[in-house]
Amino acid sequence: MQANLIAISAIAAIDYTTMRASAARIDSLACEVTATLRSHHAPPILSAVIDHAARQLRDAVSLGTAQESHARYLASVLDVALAWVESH
Amino acid sequence: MDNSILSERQENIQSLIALPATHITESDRAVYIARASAGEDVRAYGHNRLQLDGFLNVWDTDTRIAYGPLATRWYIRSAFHHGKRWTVTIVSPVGDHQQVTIHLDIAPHPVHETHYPAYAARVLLSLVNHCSAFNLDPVAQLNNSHH
Repeated sequence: MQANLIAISAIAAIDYTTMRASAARIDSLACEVTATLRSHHAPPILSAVIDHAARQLRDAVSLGTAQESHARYLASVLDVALAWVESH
Repeated sequence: MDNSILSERQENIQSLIALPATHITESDRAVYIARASAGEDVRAYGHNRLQLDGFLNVWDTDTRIAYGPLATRWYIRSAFHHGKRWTVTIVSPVGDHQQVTIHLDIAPHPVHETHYPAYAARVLLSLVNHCSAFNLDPVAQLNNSHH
């Protein structure tokens, strides 16, 4: 779980111009992260915002409009998820 | 909230940060920041343990764990809970002081119940900041994410 979170954080942190090939991986890992968070009784809002951030990044990459802020957004909410996992 | 109040609070926070760490306890710091940053808006939540200071940090005054900083562009104006439902209002400190109120259904946790709002607030502020940058409605975006 933590490895996955770190992996997604790493993906999200890289420059957006290189994220196109990683969009599918972002999706699948985000699904795994949110499922695990739910099983750990994490706040539903946490999974919801991660879903949103992943979708924003994925859509922006697909449309060719991705900016670094998309990655930072996902990275920031994944940091919160990681903090949750580490403290529970 | 006018700019002079915000400026005064910023100065209070800056003066606190400038204090030598040995001169202030974490508990004092939490209370001081809460008062300095949020003024009358500050309230204690979650069995009087969790404090949303409204500007910089979320503090658990029991464990003295800080969850901030939360945001630089938006701050939490208020947070109320009725049972498991939280109503959090986030306000932009500049411009037209736009307010965004979001209702959160947060099921109680047998052990970590009071930590929930802290995590919720953190991701919520990320959401709002992102939506602000891209001119999106955070409430609509959040609702869509549930579907």
